[in-house]
Amino acid sequence: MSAPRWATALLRRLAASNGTEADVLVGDLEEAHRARVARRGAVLAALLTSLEALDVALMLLRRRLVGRSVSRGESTLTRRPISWLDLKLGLRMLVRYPVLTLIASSSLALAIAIGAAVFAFISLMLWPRLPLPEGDRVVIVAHHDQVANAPESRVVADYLRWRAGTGTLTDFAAGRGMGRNLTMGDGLIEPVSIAEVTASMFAMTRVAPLLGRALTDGDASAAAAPVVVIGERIWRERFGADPGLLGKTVIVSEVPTAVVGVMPAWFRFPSIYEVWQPLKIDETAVKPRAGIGIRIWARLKPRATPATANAELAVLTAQAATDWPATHTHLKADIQPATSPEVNDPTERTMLAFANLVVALLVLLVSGNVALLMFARAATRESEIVVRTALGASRGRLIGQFVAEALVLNTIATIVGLALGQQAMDWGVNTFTRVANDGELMPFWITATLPPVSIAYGIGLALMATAMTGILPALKMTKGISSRLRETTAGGGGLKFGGVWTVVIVAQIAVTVTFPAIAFFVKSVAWRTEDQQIGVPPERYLSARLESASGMSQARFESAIRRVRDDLVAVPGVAGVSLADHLPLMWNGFHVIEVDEGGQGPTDDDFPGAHRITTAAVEPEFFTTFEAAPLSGRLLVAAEYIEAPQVVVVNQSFVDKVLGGRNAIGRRVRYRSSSNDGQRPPQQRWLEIVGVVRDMGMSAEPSLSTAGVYLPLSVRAVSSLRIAARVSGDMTTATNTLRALAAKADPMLRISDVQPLSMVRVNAVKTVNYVVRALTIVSVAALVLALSGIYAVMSFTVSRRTREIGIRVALGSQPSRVVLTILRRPLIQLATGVVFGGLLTYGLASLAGETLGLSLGLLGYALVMLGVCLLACVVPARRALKVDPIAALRAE
Amino acid sequence: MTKIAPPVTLAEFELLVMVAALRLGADEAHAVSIAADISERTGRIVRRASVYMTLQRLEDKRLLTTALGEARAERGGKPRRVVTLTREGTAAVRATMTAIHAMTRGVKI
Repeated sequence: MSAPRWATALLRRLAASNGTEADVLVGDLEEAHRARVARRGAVLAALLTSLEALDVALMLLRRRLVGRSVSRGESTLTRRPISWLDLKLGLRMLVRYPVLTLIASSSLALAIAIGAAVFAFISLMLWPRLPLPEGDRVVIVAHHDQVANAPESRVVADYLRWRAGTGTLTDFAAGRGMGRNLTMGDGLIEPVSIAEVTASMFAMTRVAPLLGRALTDGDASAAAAPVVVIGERIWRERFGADPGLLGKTVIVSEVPTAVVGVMPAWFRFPSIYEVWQPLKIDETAVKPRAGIGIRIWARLKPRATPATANAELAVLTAQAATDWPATHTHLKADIQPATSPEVNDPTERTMLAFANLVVALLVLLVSGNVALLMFARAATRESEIVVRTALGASRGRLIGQFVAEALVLNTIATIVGLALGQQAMDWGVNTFTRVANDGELMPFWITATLPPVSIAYGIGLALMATAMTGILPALKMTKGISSRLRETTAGGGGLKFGGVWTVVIVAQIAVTVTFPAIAFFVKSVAWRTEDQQIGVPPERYLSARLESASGMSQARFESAIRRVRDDLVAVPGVAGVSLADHLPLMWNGFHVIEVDEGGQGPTDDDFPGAHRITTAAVEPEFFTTFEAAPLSGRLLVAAEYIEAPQVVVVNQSFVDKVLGGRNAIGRRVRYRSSSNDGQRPPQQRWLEIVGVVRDMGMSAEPSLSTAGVYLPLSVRAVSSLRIAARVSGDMTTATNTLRALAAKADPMLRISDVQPLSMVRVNAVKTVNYVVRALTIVSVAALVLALSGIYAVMSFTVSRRTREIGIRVALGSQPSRVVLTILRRPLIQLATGVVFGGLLTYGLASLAGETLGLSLGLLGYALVMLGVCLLACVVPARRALKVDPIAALRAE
Repeated sequence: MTKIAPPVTLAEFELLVMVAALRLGADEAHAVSIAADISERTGRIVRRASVYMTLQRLEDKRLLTTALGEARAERGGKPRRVVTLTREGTAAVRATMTAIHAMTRGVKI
């Protein structure tokens, strides 16, 4: 009957690195446990032993924190830099100054939360890790044609040769991904990402199904009935977590398939997949470098490294080149990470890393301010410090006490901050999924959990904050303490705020002024988005995305979407239907164009001689569906929908911004092929403008809806389209009708994002509002911290110079003039901070293109912020005005 | 003339630990048996963590020494750390007891 295993493991972990010490502690626990079992029975003994183990563990932790043994009395204080007693005193100080504790700990917590969450998010984007057991050992074995300089995925023959394992790699698996329609029991169709994988994939990932079984080798045989393993999300959302689902049939594209297992929701291997089917390989017909394209995964064997695996692969590919000279002579295989970073562009990667640095600086700034508050509080305890020095306390001891107080404060802030960071991470990943990934699932290694490395980073930030908030005020307080002892007894305080504090105060006020302005600018985006008029009510328009499933021919796709459109037009309550690659309010990126004879309006700074515009390819019915009559010229006609269209329609903003208001009809435009904005030009010939229509919102955010060009839509060239229908009847009925029509038109047609067009705007505003909310929280925290800092400085200045105020008033100075003299320095700091903040705001606003009327607005804003900051001076100033000269002189 | 340092006196729990160690003897005195002995005789609930801390403190003051004992089956094959009082330790116990006797003699409690 042994002691609980976790208890012995805990003691072993916490005992000194010396194994004998751990053996003794565990032996004691075992001995006491056996005695208890004999006396009180196994259950009670286990409970008591567990409690005792926790008690001993706490004792060991305490030893680690404050030294090998803990003695009572002052003698210990002189031996250790930080004692247990210091920590207790620190806790008492927090209770004694609750407002300061609240402000300082919440500011630090917020800073640590932002720091840890941003670091976690950036780590996920730049250095993702596979969240599988020993996930860092999972690799992709990739082939590359060295002559064609292109990846080669037709490697089934290589996979079959290696799958039994090599010297450095084991657990080989293969698979490929595709998009298909899944028809559920309720008859609704959902487009899903399906991975066809070998059964070995499940063993390689070491993740067990939540329900049922994984795929087996038998499932992949030609004669086997079709089976599928689905993800937990689909199981819950579409099958109501039915435990009896196993064995039931769903339709994958057009094939009835039995569900045999459910995988956990987080598992979407290899990246975003929620449905897994067996990869069927006819091994008798496999030829080298032929057949389907697959991806190969494997695990590094225990002592193998990427270098040894690559060395072995070089030998194996050389062997393959000898065996299959016609196909493998130029093929090279090497291992690659199983994850891929979301951000690959070197500039963007650098910017992200830089963003992390900025956030770390924010933590530093907040720490600086908290240090200021701690210093102001310490200043009120100067006599205590002087007395302790007189009684023999060393400077090291005094610094130790300050650091211990900061440590207690920062520990609380760290715990709260990391919990907040977890929330922020959750929010960040969800927002990123919605905004950057258009609501699609993210790779399963992008998780909303704060990883251990981020927690460590957060603790690192907290230690940095502890050093600043503890050591800085301590050094300042204890500098020249002996001489201050004399000065204090002589009647004048020598403690002053120095240059470091000035910088901290000015920087804090500047940041405080800037944050609300940024929040305002971002909020104004939401206002503009809400106010944008597109000429028709978007809530009356039903929109959806139509895509072709993998394996669907272009002709079949074209036929299917035309059928959906024609069927939808015939539905009562639907007044018009149109297809387009982008609908009003949907952002389509920029294109760069040239106008014949040069545009009359100013050209884009980034593209001299050209203009940035947005483009949508639309059907002729688009304009009638959205009730857009030509303002001049004519609309596109069906005859112009040929392979190589030569005409376009532009919007009013195009006429205003690109042509300077001149007549557009007959002018010609050409997409620039060498634009460096990442968008491929839709056409490269000169296109004639035949008509002008009103602005209909080229994006949800109006400032992006610059000039717009409407091209004739060529259905033959696309595999994804949007459909819009003007609905005069019930929107819910129309939504269900559209889904049903898509299912009826072709089971391979994937339909998604079925929603009123107004939801595009609603989602855009919601996202912006999320950012505004986060900025508001940061702004309020910055403001509270800044006001507390100003208040602390003012109060400190008044309390240090009470005697001087008394003398000046006694000599006949006006009290208001005295106050101004005394508070001049802090007021200058305040004004400097507001000016810097105003300049920073102006700079940021200019970068964001917000220049109109900004100067006056900025001045007003700066004055308001100055007023708000001055509020913090009211109480100290009143205190200074109330100084009675006689009382002040007598007190000294 | 060399000045002789007065013997160290002990706090209450230190005294209990030292006396328990004396009573149990050099081979049997270790944290578990000391805690059990104090608990049995005084009726107090004794936290073994307190015993560890006290033993450590007394060892730091050189009032006792510790050494590894034999591994035993009832301890899962783990050794004990047995406690022996030093001469200073015995003197400290004696001095503390003397002080207590001196203070309590004739006092009706």
